[in-house]
Amino acid sequence: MQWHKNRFYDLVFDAAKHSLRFPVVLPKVPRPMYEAFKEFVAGRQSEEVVAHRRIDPSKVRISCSLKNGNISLLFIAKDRDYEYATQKLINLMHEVFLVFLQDGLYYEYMIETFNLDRDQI
Amino acid sequence: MSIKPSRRNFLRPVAAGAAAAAFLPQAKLSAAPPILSITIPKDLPTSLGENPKVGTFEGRGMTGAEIFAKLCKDEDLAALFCCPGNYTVINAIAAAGVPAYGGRSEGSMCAAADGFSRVTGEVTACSGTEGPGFTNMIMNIAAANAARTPLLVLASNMELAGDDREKFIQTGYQQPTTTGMKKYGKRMIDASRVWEYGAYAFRNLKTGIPGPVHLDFPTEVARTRFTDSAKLTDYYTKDKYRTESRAQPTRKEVEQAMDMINKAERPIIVAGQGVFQRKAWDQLKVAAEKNEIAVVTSGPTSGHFPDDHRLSASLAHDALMSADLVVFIGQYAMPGRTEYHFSPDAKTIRVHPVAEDIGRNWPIELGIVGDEKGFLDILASEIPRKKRDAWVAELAASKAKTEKRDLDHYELGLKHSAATNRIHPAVMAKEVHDLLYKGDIDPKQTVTGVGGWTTGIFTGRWLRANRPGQSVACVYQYGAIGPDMAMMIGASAAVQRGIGPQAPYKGAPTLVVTSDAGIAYSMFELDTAAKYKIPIIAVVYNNNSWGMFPAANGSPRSLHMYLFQENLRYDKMAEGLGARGEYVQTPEELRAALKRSYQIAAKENISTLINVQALKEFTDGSKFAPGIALPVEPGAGAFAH
Repeated sequence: MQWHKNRFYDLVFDAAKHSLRFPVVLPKVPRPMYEAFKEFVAGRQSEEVVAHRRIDPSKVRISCSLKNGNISLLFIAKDRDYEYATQKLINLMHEVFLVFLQDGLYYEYMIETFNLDRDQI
Repeated sequence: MSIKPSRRNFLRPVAAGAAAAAFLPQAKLSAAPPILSITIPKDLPTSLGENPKVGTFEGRGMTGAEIFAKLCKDEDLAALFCCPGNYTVINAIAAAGVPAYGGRSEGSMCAAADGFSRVTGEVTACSGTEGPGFTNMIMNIAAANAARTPLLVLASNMELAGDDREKFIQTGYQQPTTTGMKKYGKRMIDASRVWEYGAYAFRNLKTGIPGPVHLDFPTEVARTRFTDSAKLTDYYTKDKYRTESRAQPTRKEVEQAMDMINKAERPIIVAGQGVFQRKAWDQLKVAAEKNEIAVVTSGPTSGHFPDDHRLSASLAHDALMSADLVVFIGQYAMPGRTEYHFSPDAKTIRVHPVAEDIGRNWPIELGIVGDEKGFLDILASEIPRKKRDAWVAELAASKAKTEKRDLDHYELGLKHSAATNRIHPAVMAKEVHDLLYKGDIDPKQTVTGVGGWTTGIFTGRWLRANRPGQSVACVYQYGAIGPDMAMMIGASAAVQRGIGPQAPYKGAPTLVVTSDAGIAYSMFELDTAAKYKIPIIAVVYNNNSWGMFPAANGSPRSLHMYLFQENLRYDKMAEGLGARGEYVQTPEELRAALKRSYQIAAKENISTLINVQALKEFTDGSKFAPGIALPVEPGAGAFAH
């Protein structure tokens, strides 16, 4: 699908593993940024998040990884409630771009990584 | 001898020589000839005091320009901003009694007309001469178009008899030049149709989605005299050439909308500029309060729902993503779904005056063609009362989170300021905020505007709009750098006259925050402000560069193109234009300068430019956290939609 920053994203569903995965959420990510990303994602399952936004840890196990600079994001639907998992995953991806990347630290990252004109960010 | 140069000194004739001498080496004092003081010409108040005189068909009759001016007066054209040129038309409009202002460049006057309209919702006009004056307005016509401002763009355009001959000077085809940046345009070629095309103009300005209308006047149209109205086509009054009728939603559509609102747990209204322009803020407030619907405003002007209201989401950034129903009302510049901070799951209702735009950019569950005020009238009276305690609590918690983030950034900025002896933009923004909303000044009083890149991003989030027409996003949508000062002088003229929502604050000072890059475009309009005694405080963030200087990263031979001389003194330039100047380098100096400037503006109608000395590197997050954090849209500081 074509989505944030006019880029295409692959979403892989594996019925056998009950998983949904974005193989590349963000490319060319340096290690400190990845650490912040992990913290952000973990925060979405925290009790501090309002209930209707929280990703229920009893329903979904989230893991992310950094390989060759690419962050991937994996959701395991523990109870096979794929509708719930998909909805939460899409919302999380949306928040990665509209909340996580909005932090002033990643402005230059967005310009360089997504090949953006500074007037078009 | 120690006399600091200031506008007061310049304006006081007896002190003129001494004030000027303060710029000179001491040794030359005795030999220096007196330098003339800056004065407002005595002809100016006399001219402003002249009684209006609308032309008649009696005697010598009326020129085409006077007939057009009569129509403008009948239509309550709120103000004209111009530079000389298009003489017949601007003289006629001024004579007819439309408040008129003359400034230093047509582009700035166009921005001023836009600013006057942005804080009142009224139709305003700008004018320039033939080709050069007209083309000088282009950037700001485009900005007005993006902001959907009901702006009447006027320009003379040589004579029809000289078409294609390049006779003398200034020949240019105007109408093709404004293609894509106007709602309607016409080069008038028949004097007998001047009233008819004036009616065309106001039909477009006052109905449907607003936008600029561009009329150009060849001399044959402006100067031809008429002694008999029967010689004019379609010469009848406004109640016959246009209608005040608006498309109204059906009861069934409103019931559908109310049903969706009632079923939603966390509904939010995005109150666009259509709500402001239709002056529907009272109905909006009643509807929101009855059903505890959150509200966030959007558009070039803020305040049609107060930021300090418990249901306001303008600072509740995190809560936006929780909304399960978004109701757009009068959102004229429509964002895409990846631009506004709403969940992909949120359902959408869009209420819009015309059908053609509904569904563009943003898929809808329910589209309603209808006037904003008409829809809100019904919603306010029909929507049932409902309590949404959890949603209201979430809004409050989210607002507190945003405020804490901004305070954290301010604390970082304070450290950076102390370490560099320059003022960080977060500190500048907070000091302006504290002056306007935390001290003795009524938090609803001061109209503010903000422009520039770094300036806009840091300051926008600290400015508040607690009543209609209180805050202007000068760069809204089009992103023009530079019109800020001129736009806010236009807004100030509206406050000075107490037009529309500005009536309770008539005569209050206004404040604009802009950049060193931006001020260069319209700084000379400080002369215009001084001339008309319009009190404005211009806070100029001086970081010695274009905000986009990091675009030269990796291109070392380009960097010079992004830089200015360092430590330029915009305060001194302001003094030379008849305003006050203040130079500040620390937060304490800024605080004192702001207070002093506001008091002088309020008591003496004297404008001040405060030069806030900064560093361009403050936007580099790796050295000076937080760096550039883009504003959350919609909400306080938003400027794209």
